[in-house]
Amino acid sequence: MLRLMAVDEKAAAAGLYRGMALTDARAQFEKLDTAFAAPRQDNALLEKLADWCDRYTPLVAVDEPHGLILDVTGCLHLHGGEEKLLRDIHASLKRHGICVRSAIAVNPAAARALARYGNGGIAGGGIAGADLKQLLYRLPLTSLEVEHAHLSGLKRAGLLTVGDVDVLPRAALTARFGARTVNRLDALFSRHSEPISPRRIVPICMAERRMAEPLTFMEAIEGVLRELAGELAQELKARVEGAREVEAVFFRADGNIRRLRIETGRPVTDAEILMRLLKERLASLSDPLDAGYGFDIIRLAALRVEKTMARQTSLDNHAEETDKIGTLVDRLSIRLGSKRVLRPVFVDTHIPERAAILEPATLTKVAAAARWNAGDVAGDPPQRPIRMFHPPEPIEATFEIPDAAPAQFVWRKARHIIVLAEGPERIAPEWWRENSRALTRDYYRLEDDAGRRFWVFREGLYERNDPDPKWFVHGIFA
Amino acid sequence: MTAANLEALRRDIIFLGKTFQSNSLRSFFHFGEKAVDSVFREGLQRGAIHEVFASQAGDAGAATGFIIALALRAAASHSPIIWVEEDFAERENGVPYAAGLHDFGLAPERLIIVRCSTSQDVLKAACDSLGTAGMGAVIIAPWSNPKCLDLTASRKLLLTAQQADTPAFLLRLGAAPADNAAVTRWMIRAAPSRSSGANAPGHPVFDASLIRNRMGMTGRWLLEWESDDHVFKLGKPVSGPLVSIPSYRSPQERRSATGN
Repeated sequence: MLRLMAVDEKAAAAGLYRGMALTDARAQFEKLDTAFAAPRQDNALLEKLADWCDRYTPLVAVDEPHGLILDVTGCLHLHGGEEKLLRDIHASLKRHGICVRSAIAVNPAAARALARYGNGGIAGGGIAGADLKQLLYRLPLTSLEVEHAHLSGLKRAGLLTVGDVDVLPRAALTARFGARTVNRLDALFSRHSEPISPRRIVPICMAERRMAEPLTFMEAIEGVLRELAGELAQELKARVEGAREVEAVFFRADGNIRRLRIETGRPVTDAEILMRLLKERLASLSDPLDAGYGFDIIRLAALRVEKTMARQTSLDNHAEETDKIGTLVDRLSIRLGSKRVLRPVFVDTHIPERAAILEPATLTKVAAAARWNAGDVAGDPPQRPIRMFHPPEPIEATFEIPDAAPAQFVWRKARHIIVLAEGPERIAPEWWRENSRALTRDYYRLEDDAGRRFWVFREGLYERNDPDPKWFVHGIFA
Repeated sequence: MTAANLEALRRDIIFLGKTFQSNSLRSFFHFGEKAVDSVFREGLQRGAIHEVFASQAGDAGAATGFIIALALRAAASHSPIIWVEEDFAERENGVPYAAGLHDFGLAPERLIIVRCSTSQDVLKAACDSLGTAGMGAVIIAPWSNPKCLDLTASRKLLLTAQQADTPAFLLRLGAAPADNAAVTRWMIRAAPSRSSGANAPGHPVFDASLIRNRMGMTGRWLLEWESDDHVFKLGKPVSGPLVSIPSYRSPQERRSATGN
């Protein structure tokens, strides 16, 4: 059976309500204008709106269903006060055909209740304490959003508004209507705070510019970015921190938002370096920054920071050089993508392909010398190949005795006759890993008649239930 | 010969003149083996391009080892070594493997691997790396014969390398030698090793042919790499005389000549 998921103002006034069967509604109004509900599209729109609201404050949380909560603490002066802010939101969204109910209050629960169950609108807002209490007291019981059983219980007791409930003794209230009811009341009246969960990483510090006239020229945009980088660097310096992750957000006048993120390998405190990285990022965009109608807000925010030590210049310029290498790594990571600038990282495991993985150089800190190969004895030839294949390449091996090194093998259509061989080095799979169905491997170091050295292994054992083990080349030696 | 070529030659002469004038600023590195070092007047120039080819596709491991050994000889100890290659190089010849590099003598902490989607990006990243102070060595491994690696591009690399006095090593797998600004050019084949006992393969041995040398004579040596001490030693032929090969022929030609 089809039911009404949402009704507009007119329909509500005519007595239709959410959850009503469509057939009942049609029985009342023959020419009902209906559309299928599309919750996914609704959510997508809500996310887009949340992105757009980023221009007012970086703290935006989605409040299901169909709601957004903005924490505007400390942002009001940027928009000329509460009323102006609300009016601005209403006016901008109305242009897009979106009907908004809104309220500003000292805590998110109160604002939410006022917007959803009160008069909403600009008149419904207000931060002044006494007024707010009056407004909240007049709200209907549904605004408490407690379970249906408790709600009808409250109604049966003759209570009609939030005010009626709030004056009751709390112990009795908790006993009869549950702790949730009391919690909701406490949240409304700021006696207990319900945190909101912002959708995006909350910037640790940021700098932004609001333009009276939207900027369209790249030179002007770069100029603004340079100023912002300077301000951000100042702020970071005061905190004795350096940025590891920076986001530049461009709010276009038509509502489009572009975010560019840069990650750095070590904390950046210098505005000049920050600017160079930003420029590199802008230059490397496959889909270049489109100013279109112009950007009216540009924001630069540090999302991740790290403490920096006050540095003393060393006698040799070793530290300085390390710094320059770090800058190079950052620049290349931004130009090519951080997955393309890699450092080997040691992992404590015997499985060869897992023992040395490559990680983005911007993420890994240069570790102290790890024990890369525990089996290496001074004076011995290399035990591990210089290049490794992922995945290992299958070969056709022939051998004189089973369970020994192959006498020859064919790899990439070339036959290799083995002259020297060492092995096996048995490496057992890590059975404790999930879905590990790997077989034991016997590794051999081989050298063919042309002096080429290979690292091959046999997967599976002869003595166990594996009659036809497979052979692979896993790497090549120098 | 056209006028443009003459002009280019004149520029080359001026360039060469400059090279020799500012020689005093140059630094050099050595093989640590007299037989090889004697062909270079003062040693191998540090701020220059040294190009390494694999004689056949199967010699990729040997060529890789040789170039890393050269980088280790040239770079200051503990200085970073950057390796620039194309994305698909991994599938073709495998990734540089940290545990193996450690065994070979290169501390993996020193290595930074940069992958690029095109050969142009490889050269650009290499050029940026060469210009960075404190870089130990830059290994540039574009696959095959990219069009962008021409005389102009290699000259640019050479200039950057000279200015920063940082060595650039071109690892040319799947490529045939062509004219460029490299100061030395090596053709590497794998060579049988001296068994380290019990029929086990021994230390890496390279059959290295110096097929171009701007600083002196060419030559061909069997070189054994001591990974613990970072020195080359003259190797002794293991079994029978080495088959002599012509100083240079492209891999394709050789394959057809031997019939595999």
